[in-house]
Amino acid sequence: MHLPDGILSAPVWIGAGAVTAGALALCVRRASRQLDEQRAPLMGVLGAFVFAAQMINFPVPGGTSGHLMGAVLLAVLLGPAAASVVLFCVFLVQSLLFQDGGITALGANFINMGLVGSFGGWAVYRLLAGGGGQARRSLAAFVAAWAAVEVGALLAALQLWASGSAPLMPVLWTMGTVHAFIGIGEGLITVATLRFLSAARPSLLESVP
Amino acid sequence: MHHRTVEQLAAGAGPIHRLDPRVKLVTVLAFVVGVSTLPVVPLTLFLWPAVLVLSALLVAGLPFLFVLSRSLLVLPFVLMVAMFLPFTRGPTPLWVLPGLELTVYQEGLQLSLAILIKGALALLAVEWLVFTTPFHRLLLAMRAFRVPRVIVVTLSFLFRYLDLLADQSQRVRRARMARAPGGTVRWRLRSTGGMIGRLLLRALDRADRVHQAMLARGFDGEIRILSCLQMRRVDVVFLVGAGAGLVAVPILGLVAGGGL
Repeated sequence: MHLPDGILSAPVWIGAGAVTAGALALCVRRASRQLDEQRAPLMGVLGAFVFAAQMINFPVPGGTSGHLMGAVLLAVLLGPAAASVVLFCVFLVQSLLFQDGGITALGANFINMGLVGSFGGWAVYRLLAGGGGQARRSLAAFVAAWAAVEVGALLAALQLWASGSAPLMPVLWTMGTVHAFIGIGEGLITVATLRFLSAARPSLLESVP
Repeated sequence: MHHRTVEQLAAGAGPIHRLDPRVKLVTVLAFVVGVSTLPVVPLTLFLWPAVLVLSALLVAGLPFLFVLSRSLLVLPFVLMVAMFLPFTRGPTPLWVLPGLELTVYQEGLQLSLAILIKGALALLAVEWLVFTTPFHRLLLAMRAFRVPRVIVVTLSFLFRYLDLLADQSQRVRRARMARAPGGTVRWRLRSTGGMIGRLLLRALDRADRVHQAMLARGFDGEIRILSCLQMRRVDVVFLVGAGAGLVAVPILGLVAGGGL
């Protein structure tokens, strides 16, 4: 789902880049206040964790295998602003060192997989989980993670269409269906991880900003 | 892992390796932006940027096959687009696929090819940059261009612990495969959650220990980045040369687009 260079038209990637620059500036300010410079290593180590976690595949019934995108997980742990900064760094390293995703498409990729996941996913989680028990929180995390993947994919499809790189309905349909399955994997892994964390170190999930 | 090869390549000592990272970063950004904004027809437009990036790779003395194989990573997404475009974007029909009643249009085919070429050229340029520049030098360049400190610091810690955590992840995976492969879906899911959760806890503890260690060595909350970048005459010469080569890219685009 990492868009490469050359596939988005100039107005689309410049627009997405501007949105990203603005949102990132706000997130950086919030994150540096919230986590203060004292916790400087935390965000970097968590970025490395995202890479490590993505190496663990979970076979989704139906043939595909999903790996964690991790946006909702990070947002639940760190708050959306700090999670966004971590995710931006992850995407930057992916596009530079792993040739996964383009430089000009960085803005669009960050919106689709970073902002949607951290802010959108976090809001959905908060809204659904409320002050509920384990089952309700699990359901909320699943829905949030699934929706983050699906909405991100649909946004990517819309960006492709707006760039004239794909016809609207087929690309929406393809991206939507494929990621509906990938989203199930993401949702299940997010829930399983959160359940483990709430059993192993409950304080982690209570101190969410 | 792949990025270890990248690090080895970047640690080389060729003429391109020694260039100022700021110069390389600006050049590559300009190239990628230039190529991405080129018009789609005619495809011969891409010859000049291709010559530029291929000669840059040649001068840098990078292993050609490795570089090319990395560039193929652009394919999956492009293929998804190429699945639709040649059949939907008209109006000039090129040929009809027998038996399927699908018409391949010239405009769509051209656009898919252009997307493929643009993506590949941009990838080659990025590879040229990261295969000749150690990551910490790249970070210095970013800092020089006012990328926020939080981001540069996060990137540097991310890069520092990437290998360590990736190794940990491999070990956990191997241990699970050795002791309990298979199992029901529900069980596998639980163990995946446990593996990832455990990785996360270890990462958090590690961050804590790193922070303690930093405090013990006098860290006062302020991260200072010592920049040792220096522009030499070679850098200026390269910048001017690359600038001249790059300016030709949009001009060619304008000429071909009928703008001039």
